[in-house]
Amino acid sequence: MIASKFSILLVGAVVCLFTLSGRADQQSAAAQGAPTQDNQVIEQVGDPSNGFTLTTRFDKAVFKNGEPIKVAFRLKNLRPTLEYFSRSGYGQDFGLKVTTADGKLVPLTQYGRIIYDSPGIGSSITIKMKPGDKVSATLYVNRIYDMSEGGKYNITVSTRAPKSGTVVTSKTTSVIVTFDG
Amino acid sequence: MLFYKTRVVVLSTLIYVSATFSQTLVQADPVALPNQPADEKTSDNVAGFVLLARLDKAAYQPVEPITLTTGVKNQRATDAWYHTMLPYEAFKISVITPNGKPATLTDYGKRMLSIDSGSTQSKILRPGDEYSLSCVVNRLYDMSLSGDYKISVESAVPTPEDKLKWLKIVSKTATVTVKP
Repeated sequence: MIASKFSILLVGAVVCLFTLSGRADQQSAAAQGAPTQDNQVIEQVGDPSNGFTLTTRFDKAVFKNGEPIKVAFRLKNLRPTLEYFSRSGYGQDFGLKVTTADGKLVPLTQYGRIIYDSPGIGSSITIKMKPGDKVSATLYVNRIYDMSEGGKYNITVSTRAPKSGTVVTSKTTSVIVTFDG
Repeated sequence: MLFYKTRVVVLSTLIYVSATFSQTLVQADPVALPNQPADEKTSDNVAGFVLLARLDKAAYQPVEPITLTTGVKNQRATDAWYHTMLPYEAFKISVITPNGKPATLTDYGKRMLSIDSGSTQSKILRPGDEYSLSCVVNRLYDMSLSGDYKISVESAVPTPEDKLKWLKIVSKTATVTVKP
C-alpha cells in the first residue's frame, strides 16, 4: 500500500519536473529572442532606458513565402512626469534595424528608402504620455527591408525618448523566412 | 396582437435595411473581394504559340505575395517542339512601377536572374499543352510602393519550319494594384 502511494508521488514529481524544465527552456530561448516554435508569439520587453521601455511583439517566428512580417511595438513612459511624444504617419518615429544571421545590414526597399530618407513626408502629431502611458504602433518589416532571401533575420526597433532624445532600443528578435520554391 | 404586429414590422425593416447595406458595401469596394477573378493576358499568336501572363488577384495588400503564372501554350493542331531552359531564362518578366520606371530587383531577384545555365532541353507540347512557371513576382522585384504595376512577359518560340529559328513573343500587359 505504502509502495503504491510512493510510486504515485514519484510519477507526479517526475511529471512536474519535466513541465518545469520545458518552461525554463522556453523562457531561456525567449530571453535570447530566438524563435522557439514556428507559430509562437514572441513578445519581449526592452531594458528601461532614460525613463522608457520599448516592447516588441511578433505573431510568430517563422514566415513562409514572403508573407507579411508584422512587428507591433509599445513605448511605455516610466517617468513620473507628463511627456510629449511626436508621432509620424509613416512610422518614421520608430527606427528598424534588420541584419542577416551573419550580421550584415539588410538593404532598404524602395518604400523603405522613401520613408527613411525623406523625414519631412507625412504629417506628425504630438501625443501626451502620462506616467505609465503607452504608445503603440505596427510596421511591416519586409515592406521596409528587402527580406526576399530565405534565412534568419535579426530585428531591433528603436525610438528617441522625449526631451532627452536618447535612443530607446527594444530587445533583438530573430525570425526565420522560408520559401517553398 | 398589436405587440406581435409591431414586432413583425420591426423585423421586416431590419431585414430590408441589412440587405440594402450589405449590397452597398460589396459594390463600394469591389477590389476587397477575396476571390476576384485572376487577370489573365494572352499574347497574339506567334508561330502557333501564345504567351500567358496570369495574376491570381487584381489587388493585393502591401507585402502580400503576388503570384504570377506565365507560360507558352501550343495552339497548333499538331505537336510542337519547345526548348526549355531554366524558367527565369525562358521567361523575361518586366515590371513597371507606379512611377512608370522599371522595378528594381530584390537581392533574391538579382541572384536568380544572374544565373546563366546555358543548358536547354527539348520538350514536345501536344496541341493545347502549356509549359508554365509560377513565381512570387514581388520576391523578384521590389513592389513595396503602393499603386498600379504593369507586368508583362517576353519569351521566344521556335517556328514550325525551323526548330532552331526563334521568334520573340510578348504577352499583353497585366495590371496589378498594391493597396496603400
